[in-house]
Amino acid sequence: MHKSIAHLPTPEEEELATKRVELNRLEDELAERELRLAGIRGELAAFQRRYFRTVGLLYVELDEINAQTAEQQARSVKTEAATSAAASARQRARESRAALDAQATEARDFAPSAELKSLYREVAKRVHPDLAADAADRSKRERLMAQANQAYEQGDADRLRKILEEYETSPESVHGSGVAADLVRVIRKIAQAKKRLAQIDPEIHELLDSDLAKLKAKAEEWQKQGRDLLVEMAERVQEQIAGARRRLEELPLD
Amino acid sequence: MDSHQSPKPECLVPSPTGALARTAASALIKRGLQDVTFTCARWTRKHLWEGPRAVRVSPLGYVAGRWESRYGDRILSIAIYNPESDRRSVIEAPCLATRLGGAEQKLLDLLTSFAWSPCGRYLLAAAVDDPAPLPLRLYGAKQSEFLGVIGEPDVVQPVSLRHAPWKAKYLATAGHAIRIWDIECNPPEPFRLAKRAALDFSAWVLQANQTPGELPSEDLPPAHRSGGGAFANPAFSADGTLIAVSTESTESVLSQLRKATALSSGQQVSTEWNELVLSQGPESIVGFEVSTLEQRFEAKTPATVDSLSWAASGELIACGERVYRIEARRGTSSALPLQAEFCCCHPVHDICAFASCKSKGSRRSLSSYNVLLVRLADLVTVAEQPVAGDVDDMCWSPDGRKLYVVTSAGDLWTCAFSEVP
Repeated sequence: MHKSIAHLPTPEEEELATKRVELNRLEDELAERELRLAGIRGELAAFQRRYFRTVGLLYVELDEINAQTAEQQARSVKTEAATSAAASARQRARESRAALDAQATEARDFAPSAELKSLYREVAKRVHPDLAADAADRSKRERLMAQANQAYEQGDADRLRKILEEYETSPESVHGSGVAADLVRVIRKIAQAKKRLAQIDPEIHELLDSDLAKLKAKAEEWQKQGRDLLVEMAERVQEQIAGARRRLEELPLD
Repeated sequence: MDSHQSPKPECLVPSPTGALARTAASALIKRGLQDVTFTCARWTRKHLWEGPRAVRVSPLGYVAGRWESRYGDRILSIAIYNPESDRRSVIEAPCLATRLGGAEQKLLDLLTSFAWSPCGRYLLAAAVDDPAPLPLRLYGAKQSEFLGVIGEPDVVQPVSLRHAPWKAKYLATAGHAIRIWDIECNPPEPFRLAKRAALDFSAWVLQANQTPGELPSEDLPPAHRSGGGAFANPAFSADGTLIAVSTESTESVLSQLRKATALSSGQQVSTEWNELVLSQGPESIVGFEVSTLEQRFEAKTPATVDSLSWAASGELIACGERVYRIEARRGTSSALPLQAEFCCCHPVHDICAFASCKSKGSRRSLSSYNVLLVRLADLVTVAEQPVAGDVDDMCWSPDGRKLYVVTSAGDLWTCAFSEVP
């Protein structure tokens, strides 16, 4: 009687299967954490755009008037201290202008849909740079991940799909053959995933500890009380601008 | 897709312009946060006592108020207020002293200076100018109690008290002799001053690496031996150097040094720990470098300077009738478009609290003040509070989250900055 020979998994294959399960779990966790990080970044970026559009441009205007006042005073007083104060005021106005110019003036709200989140999670799982097998693969993944982050912040689901498609059809996504090679690759991916997971929490903490995040937290507190922090800040800076303008007008002309 | 084509790099070298813009953006965001924090200041008024002349806040948040004699040269009584428990205790008062007998009464009458220990648990008071030298008086903050006197009566006659920032357990007292106290000891123990060198204007320096008390008695300052002079303005630099100026000269010089002490009772050494203000000349303030005691700057000021404070940015703010900003590095001063009698700079932010009189009548007690929090960079008033009576003293808590203002009306105004508006 002819008996078929059953293929029993080798110890390496068993180990590989176990490691793949672990890697899958880590990839899920990594994608989830990256999603949170990207979410925080996106929210902060949106708040920063709104802050600059509402308050920042008024600070720029105020600094410009203060610089003009200091320059006018320096011209009339002609002392070293007045000249130095005018130069400092002008430098400050220049820096504020540069900061404003660098910002996107169009404010957008960051409200990712469930579909967008799911897509980003999938992209992070597939193309995360810390899951790369070699340097070339890593380079490609880094580029795609940067694009994915940008697309997520902008709420561009189509672009996320294209990124996913691009990676899936690329040669780097094809795994090499051989259990031993696969096992080594999976073990390295696990190590990289763990390393990245350890880095994400400090990054999140750093973001949440930033001045921008603190300002945003204050704005959210105000919102609960039915107040708009940025609008009230803007009103206050406008009062300061009016005062600065009066001081400038009261100065004697050359 | 051509797999051999290397991906086009998005950015090889970060643009310097971009980096500058990011830094400037961070500055604008920080400015907004600072504005909101200070604008949302919560001012509270607590009527604590009648007419204290000075207030000092310990690192643990205890507030000590003192009452002075009519001419401000004697402490009449001291009280400690604990904001957490809202408990106020008078720890030295004439009525208490009468129960202590003649010697204790005399001691209280002579108290002229007080300071918190760096650990924040003890308050020390000192007496001066009596032919019979007197020891320091030590008070416990938590129970608001008099713990006892420390030091030998024949060696302590301090003019003022200074803490060493480098080691919280040391305290310097100066008078006819200088002592460094280890106030963590129980009871606190004095060290004798170690002399390094007599410099050209009779300043004495104790290096951090020297052990106090090791030098023989002949190294005691001559002023102590002769009894004709005194030390004023002891100050510790960040590296632990103690500097004090002695004089064996006339009473007028001595009184000028004392005036300088009184002016700079908040922060005498700059925040960068390089400059030290020792004396106020006629319409000028003279600064010295801590390590060499060489003159660093002489800046023009109003004829009368009522108050001095070092800003976090390293500038010195001087208030007389007008407000002057002194850039210590360059020795230049410029008048600011402000009128204030009192200034007190925030320990961290570039914010200064000014007290300006709104109406000066013939009767000073009827005047009322505005306390302004002004950002020094652009002189924008970020917070304002009117208070009744003269502003006698202002003091920031060590973490900069509270400002205490004491008025002659007996009010302690507290300005708190909370994360939640």
